[in-house]
Amino acid sequence: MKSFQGSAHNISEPLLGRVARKHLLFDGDHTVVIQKFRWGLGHKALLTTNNDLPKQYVKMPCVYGVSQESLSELHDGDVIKVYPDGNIVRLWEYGSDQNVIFVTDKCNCHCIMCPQPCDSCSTSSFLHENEEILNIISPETNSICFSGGEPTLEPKQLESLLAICKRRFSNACISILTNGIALSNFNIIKRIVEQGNKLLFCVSLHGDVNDVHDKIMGVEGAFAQTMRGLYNLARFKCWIELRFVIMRQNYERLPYYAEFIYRNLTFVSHVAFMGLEYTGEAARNIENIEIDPVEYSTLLRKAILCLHRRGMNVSIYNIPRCLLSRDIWRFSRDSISTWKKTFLDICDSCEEKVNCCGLFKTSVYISPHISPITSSKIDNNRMPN
Amino acid sequence: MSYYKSTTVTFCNDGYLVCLHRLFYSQTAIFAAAYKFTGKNIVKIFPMDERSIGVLFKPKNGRTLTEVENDAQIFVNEVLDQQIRLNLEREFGHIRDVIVEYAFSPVKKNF
Amino acid sequence: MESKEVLLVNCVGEYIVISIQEFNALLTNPFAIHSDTFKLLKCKNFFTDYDLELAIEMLATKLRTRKAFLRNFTSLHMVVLTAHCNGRCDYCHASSSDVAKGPLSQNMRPDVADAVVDMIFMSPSQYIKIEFQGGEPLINWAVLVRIVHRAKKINKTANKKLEFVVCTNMTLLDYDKVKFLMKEGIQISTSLDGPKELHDLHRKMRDGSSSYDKFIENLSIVCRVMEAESVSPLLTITRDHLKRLPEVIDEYIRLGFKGIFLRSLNPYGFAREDLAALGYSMEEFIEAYKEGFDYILQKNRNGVHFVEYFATLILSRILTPFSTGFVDLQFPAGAGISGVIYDYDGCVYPSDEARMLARTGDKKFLLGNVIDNSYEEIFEGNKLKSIISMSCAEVMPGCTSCVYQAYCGSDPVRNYVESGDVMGFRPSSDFCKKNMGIIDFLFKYILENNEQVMDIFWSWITGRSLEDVRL
Repeated sequence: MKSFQGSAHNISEPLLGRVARKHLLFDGDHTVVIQKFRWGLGHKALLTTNNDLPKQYVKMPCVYGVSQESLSELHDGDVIKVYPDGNIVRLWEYGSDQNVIFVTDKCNCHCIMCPQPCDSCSTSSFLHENEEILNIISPETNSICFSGGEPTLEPKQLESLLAICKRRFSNACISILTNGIALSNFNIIKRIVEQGNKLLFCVSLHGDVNDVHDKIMGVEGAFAQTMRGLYNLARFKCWIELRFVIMRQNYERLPYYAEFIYRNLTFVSHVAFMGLEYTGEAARNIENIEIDPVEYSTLLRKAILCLHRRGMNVSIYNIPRCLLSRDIWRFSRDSISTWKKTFLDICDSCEEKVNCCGLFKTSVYISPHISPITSSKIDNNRMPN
Repeated sequence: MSYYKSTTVTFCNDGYLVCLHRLFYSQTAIFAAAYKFTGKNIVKIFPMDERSIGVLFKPKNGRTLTEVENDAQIFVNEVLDQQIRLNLEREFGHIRDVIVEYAFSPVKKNF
Repeated sequence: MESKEVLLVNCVGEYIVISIQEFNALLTNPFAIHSDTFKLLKCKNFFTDYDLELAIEMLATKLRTRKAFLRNFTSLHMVVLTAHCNGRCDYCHASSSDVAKGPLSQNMRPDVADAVVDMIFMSPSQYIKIEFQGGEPLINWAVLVRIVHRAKKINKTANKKLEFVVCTNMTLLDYDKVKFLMKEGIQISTSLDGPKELHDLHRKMRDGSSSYDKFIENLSIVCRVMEAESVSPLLTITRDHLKRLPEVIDEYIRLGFKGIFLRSLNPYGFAREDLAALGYSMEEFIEAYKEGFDYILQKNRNGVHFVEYFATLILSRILTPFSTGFVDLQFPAGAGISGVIYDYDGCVYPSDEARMLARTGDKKFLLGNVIDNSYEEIFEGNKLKSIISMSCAEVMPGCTSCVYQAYCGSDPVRNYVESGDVMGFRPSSDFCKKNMGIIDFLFKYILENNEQVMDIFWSWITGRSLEDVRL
């Protein structure tokens, strides 16, 4: 998430607000005002590049001395959180379809490649803050993603948040990132689904057999529970996206996994094969899980071919085009959040750079096989054996 | 008795005899199969000893002995078929009943 | 199958090929199998070592899916508008009668037609397909129109998905009739036995004219007025076709048809009488089929999208988990419970073959009559239940343990005709031989797994172009 620093004044506890620019008498565009109809000048707080404030603002919570560059990256309609130490974090970006609401940092798994493991497992609840965010973002919001931790571990909170969405954004596409385990409980899923229309469940399934999936999730019995959860989702006719993160433990299963989905989970709307983000737990386990996409290129192609032939929707996330077989480029999506996307210098001369998802800024490992794609190379690009 | 084991059909008493081991062929199967041949043959079923059952085919209404022999040989396959059906009925009949019930259930819903 | 390998198929149609050593190990000590094979057997639901309840639930889900055609009960309703025909095809299995000079005594009467429509709508199925047959149904055009109107009227309240097909030789079509068919959304199913000489060889008109010429003439009217996809022809393979299927296929392509059903001769009616001239052994048929199929495959390789429909059915059963109801080849049989036929006199039979059998004097499969019997008497009676009970693979010798059980089906009437017994006798059954032969043949391609061939198969199964299916 985007964050930057300034000097705080009159801020005793963290506050949340929606960004608005209002033209002020003396200092026009430099002043970012956070709009919330509260008191005084009608705003919750003020952000400014100036290093001092005029007298009438002296009682107002404010962060000053913020860089021009940082302020200009904030859009009207963004939701930011301002801390007593002057740190500002953007929690919601207006107009973006990559916004995430973190329901909880509790999790019922220990995935060996988890990019954001919960270290403290704090007992504090994010509910109040999340409700506030959902209540102040624009009513035209058309895409909201609930994640965590594992959001289904707080079903009551999730219901409450979904109720706000149902009320305020009836046409928005709501997605829930989950490992599906808690959804094996029919009552839990029933209550969640009753709260929403157009719910998309993005369920992690990293294998077609229990030993492979359970090992990756770090929980025995995860596969069986997730399968039951998927069947429950089907009973409620929910949209489902399956996510398969490719690593050393499961890459050999790729073509069998595709066939498995087609035979057993035909009702899913979308299947996504994902490259690793080597950060957090994934970075710690890198020796165990690391695999270069060129090693599984042929198998990935087989899996994509399998599902595409059968008319299922399939995508590739987080794998640069130069590491993929040419005939599956069109399944590769711009999947890496803008704020953590990067390219290497050599990518500047790549003809596919504009279409490529790029690399994770956060990854501690980058494939040595990244190389720019040029016309002459396209002829002998990787084809299946 | 071991003689009968190596033959399917033996000429005996102006007819053809089939000897069947009780362990393999149930009375039900033997009767069901034999019945099919009673139109053109006289068929007599009797115990030969504690292990075997005999089925004797004799001609009826001018049937030739060659034809009777042929019928007796066909009977040997027929009794196998009938026995298999019985075995399958015993083992899977309940599954078949569930399937048939399911196949007709849409009609039951309506009436 | 190579003798070093074994093909395993589970009850929901998933398949795997393993070596004979692994197969033997499977029977004695499963855990000695190589771990990759072990995983494969697990993911394909052949066995489980961790959660029996889940494995059963997965199998149950797939079985329900595969047998979904049972959920609706009778959806295909064939109506014999007349036994008269202006043609006299050598192999006619309906034993059609001549078009009489006087009143047509074997036409369906309007009151019978009304009773038929009323009974059709008593079916619980949400999807109803009414298929006009004969003789030549267009001879009784007035009743065809009457049935269409009555059915649509009833459907205003019944609200089912209603479709119509007319099975015709097309010789009696004219512009007005075609307009009616188009207006009411009636599809045309017709016969085309190949180029003119081959078609006219056995498809004879009673007045001696060429049925091919009339067919072509009327086909052009149909193509002008209706969509190309409204007409689908099929072929009846006789001895004369065995070596000439490529010519037939070329003719189909030339006329713009998108596919063909390579259908073998039905041993009924006139065909039975003339088997020596028309007929062939099942081995001969299978050889001809393979040749025709390979020719079609080659056409597809060369960019012509042309489908063989029977192969597509079998391929769908092998490669997909979905329900593919096909009344002539399913377990339990489609007789009565999926498809039913109403003769011109109102008599109801569980299949077309049963009707043909009755024509020869054997009324073993007659279920009742729309005028005299109620829906329950006909469709819930013991006769139909008994036929269906004897068509379940689980209790049929031969079928119960057959590797292709999930892909095949039974035809109780055919069994009776072949062996005198409704359950049939697999070892000498031509029906079994044909199906096994074709499934063997298709499996060869599947296991070879050539990318282009599999792309072509998937283009047939999913109804998309090769371009769309490939990477």
